[in-house]
Amino acid sequence: MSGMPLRGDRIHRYVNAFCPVCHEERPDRPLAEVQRLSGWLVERDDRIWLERGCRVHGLVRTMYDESPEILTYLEQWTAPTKRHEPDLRGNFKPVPAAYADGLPEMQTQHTCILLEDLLDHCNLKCPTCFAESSPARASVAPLEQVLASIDTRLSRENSRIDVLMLSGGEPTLYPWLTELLRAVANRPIVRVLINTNGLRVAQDDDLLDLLTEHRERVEVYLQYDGESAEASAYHRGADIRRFKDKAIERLSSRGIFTTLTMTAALGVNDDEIGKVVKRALDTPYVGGVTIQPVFGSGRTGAIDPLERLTHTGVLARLEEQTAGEVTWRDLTALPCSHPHCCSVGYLLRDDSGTWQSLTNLIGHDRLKQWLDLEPDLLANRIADDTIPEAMKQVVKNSLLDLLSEQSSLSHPSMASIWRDICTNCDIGIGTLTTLATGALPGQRRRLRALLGERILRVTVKPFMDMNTMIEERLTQCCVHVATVNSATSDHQCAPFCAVQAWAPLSASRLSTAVGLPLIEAT
Amino acid sequence: MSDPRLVEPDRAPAPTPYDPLRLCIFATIALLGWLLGPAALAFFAVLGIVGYTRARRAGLLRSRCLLGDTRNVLAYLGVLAGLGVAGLVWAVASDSLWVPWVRW
Ligand code: SF4
Ligand code: SF4
Repeated sequence: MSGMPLRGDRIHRYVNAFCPVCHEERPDRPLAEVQRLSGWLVERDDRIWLERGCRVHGLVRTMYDESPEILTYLEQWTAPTKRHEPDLRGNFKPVPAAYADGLPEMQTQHTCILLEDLLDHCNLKCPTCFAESSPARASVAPLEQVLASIDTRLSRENSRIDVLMLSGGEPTLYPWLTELLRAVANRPIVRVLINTNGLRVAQDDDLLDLLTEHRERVEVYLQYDGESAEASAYHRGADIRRFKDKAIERLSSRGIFTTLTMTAALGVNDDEIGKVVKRALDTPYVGGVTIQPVFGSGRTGAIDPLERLTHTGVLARLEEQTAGEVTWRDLTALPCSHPHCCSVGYLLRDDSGTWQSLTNLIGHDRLKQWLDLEPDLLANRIADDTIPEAMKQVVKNSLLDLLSEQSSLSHPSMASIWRDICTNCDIGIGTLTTLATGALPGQRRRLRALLGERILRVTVKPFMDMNTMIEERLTQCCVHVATVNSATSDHQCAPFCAVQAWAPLSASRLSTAVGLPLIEAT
Repeated sequence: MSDPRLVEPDRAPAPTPYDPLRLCIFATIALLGWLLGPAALAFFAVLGIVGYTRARRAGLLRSRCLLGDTRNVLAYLGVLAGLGVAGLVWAVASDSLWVPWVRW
């Protein structure tokens, strides 16, 4: 008797997911009516598929990730998460309904990045804008509401926010940006990121002066989709490349740390990833590149749910497009969020001018050892271990900081992080070691310049839409958008991907919930 | 147009019932034996001799046949072929053709 045949695929892991077809039929359905579905990630034909069973639509299959090999590699990099304080104690409702009352009890990560949407208004109307911003959407959050939202978060985060991201709309159009940056400087907020399309940065000298004034804590996240006119037209609705070039040039000349954020889409600019990385390597003070595969929340239509650019797809394309200068093995998953949510790698230019990655210099095994990801490995090597215990602890903490969502080159603790890493790992970057270990006045400035020229942080951030949404990533999400409770008007927050995807949560974004028309606001 | 995300679960193909083909083959050989008598015996025995001679040349010294050594098998098939030929001769001589019960 032959019995049942094999399935012919391989279950990668069991997940809870949502039905994208139900979602499209009624995107604004109340959160309590959203069904959490049983599902799995499954490996078939060298792809990872997300399959879930919907009581209306049956088995629903969408593409989740392009490379099972790289996804499995990323899953090795997990580290302990941090405690959080729920916005409402006792909120044990299921996802996504729980987020109507902010971060619930069952969240497993604190807020690494707090994202404040200052306004819905924008000077562009990008076809792929997830916030659906436009010149016509003129709602602006009053300054005191933004500060109240920040203060609420500070009160839930033990009086410290690692990263505050100002977003929108276009935050450089915020009428009280100067006042906001000043108020933020007086609060225990380590770093401020400004998410901008660069149009005003390219043209407005006052804005540039303001950013320069705050450059020790402010970093610019500049939207930059590649070098082709097509990419610009597809993502931004027009060829605005000359503004981007101008913005990069102006930021770099002022020594303002900048990260190029690229929205990448299959068949549009997925072949320009290497060029964007190259541009960042070559430009002083462009300290980071973030590549975001386009996702289907907001205005973005028509992403093929069965054939799209994904996290591992971006990683897989790096090697060929950078002529081997960067490969996927130079990145690891960001250990603080879910390993599918973000990958990160540092490139360092040594004294001979060659770019090398941190993972390459330290080695995957040693890196894991220091992150304590492999206790077994550690135990096995204890005999020939030459690193003293105290020093290991120091290096481990530095690495955890470096590989976390809060890190960037403008982080004030960067100097000590690099000092620990340089002196303890012997990564052969002489000048950096000298600078990082020195304490003479003026060295801090020189270290800053050196970091700006010789270190690049590459990250890949695949946000989820309903075709890729799984619950466990929301649960461990550390990128939280400020929202306002529709019943109590209390300030709270929710995972970025959830806010973009579910209309009732989008409507509770700060700028949408408490925003006033532009004229009234000013 | 139907949504390409909506898929049918893979089902196990319905099990195919056992096909007792061999039983039919046995009956057919028996029929041939009955109809053709010694001719069938001679034909299959010669076929066997040709097959086993080739196999032996190719190095097959032992067969799964109960007789073991392939020389024994060849000898046995030789006897069968002889019997078949004898039967044919008898049939022609006694004026009963291939089919013994059909008399001219
Ligand atoms: S993507 Fe950014 S620049 Fe484009 S419309 Fe949206 S907010 Fe404005
Ligand atoms: S925002 Fe989305 S992709 Fe990023 S950590 Fe949160 S759940 Fe993951």
